Amino acid sequence: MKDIPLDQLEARFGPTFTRALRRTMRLHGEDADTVEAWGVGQAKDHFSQMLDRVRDGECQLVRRRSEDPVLMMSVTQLATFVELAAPKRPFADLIAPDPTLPVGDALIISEAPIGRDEIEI
Amino acid sequence: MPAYLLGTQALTDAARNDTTPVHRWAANQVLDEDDVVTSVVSFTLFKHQVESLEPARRAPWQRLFNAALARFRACDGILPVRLDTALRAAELRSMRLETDTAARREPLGDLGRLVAATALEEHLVLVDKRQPYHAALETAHGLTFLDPYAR
Repeated sequence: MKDIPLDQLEARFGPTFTRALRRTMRLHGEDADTVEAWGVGQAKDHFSQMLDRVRDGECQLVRRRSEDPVLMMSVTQLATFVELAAPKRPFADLIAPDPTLPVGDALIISEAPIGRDEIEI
Repeated sequence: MPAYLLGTQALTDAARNDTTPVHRWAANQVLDEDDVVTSVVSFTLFKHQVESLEPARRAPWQRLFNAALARFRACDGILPVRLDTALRAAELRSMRLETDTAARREPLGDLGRLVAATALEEHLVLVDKRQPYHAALETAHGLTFLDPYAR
């Protein structure tokens, strides 16, 4: 499974999500392979989508805490499910103009060599 | 899995914070943010060009460079140079490949060859403003190329 660093998760889902994740990791020890994770705030919708994607053997729904679903899975599994469940932005949005930034003039990139490395054999 | 590699000029125009041919191409496609990636080497070329500008132009472009870098990093959209890519670039080094960006023909540098090698080794469509060397790579290496600047 793909291992997704926490800072990438935070970039995508915001600080609420990673605070919840870090809290569960602390409860179980930083190096614990299995953590409890529950949906809070903005992360809740993502966890609901994750539940829809649960397949036999991939993770286990162990119980409910209050109204929130609780999953028992490894951090790596959690990251994988989050990535699968995450709504992806259109690429056009990724490069869309940002009104807080200046507009650049035409900048032509030179791909000509500056120097040349040679070795002798 | 990504399908497209933004070449260096296309990346720079994507960062312009204006509506460029790259923006128009992206708006007319059904593309998620992870369908399009760029090469770490393109950021080398981009940064070098920005740092070569006179101060009045450099300041806004430095902000645009930083914003583009942050956006592509956040969606894991910057490919490193793998060993296979480096070895493919060695094959490309023996080819006569030319650019004509400055109204004169010049050989393609090693960094540009690494970007092209990335597209070839990662089996991605290279999206960029057409240069003479692209046709040579289409013929000799089977490069798949897309020019959003073409009318």
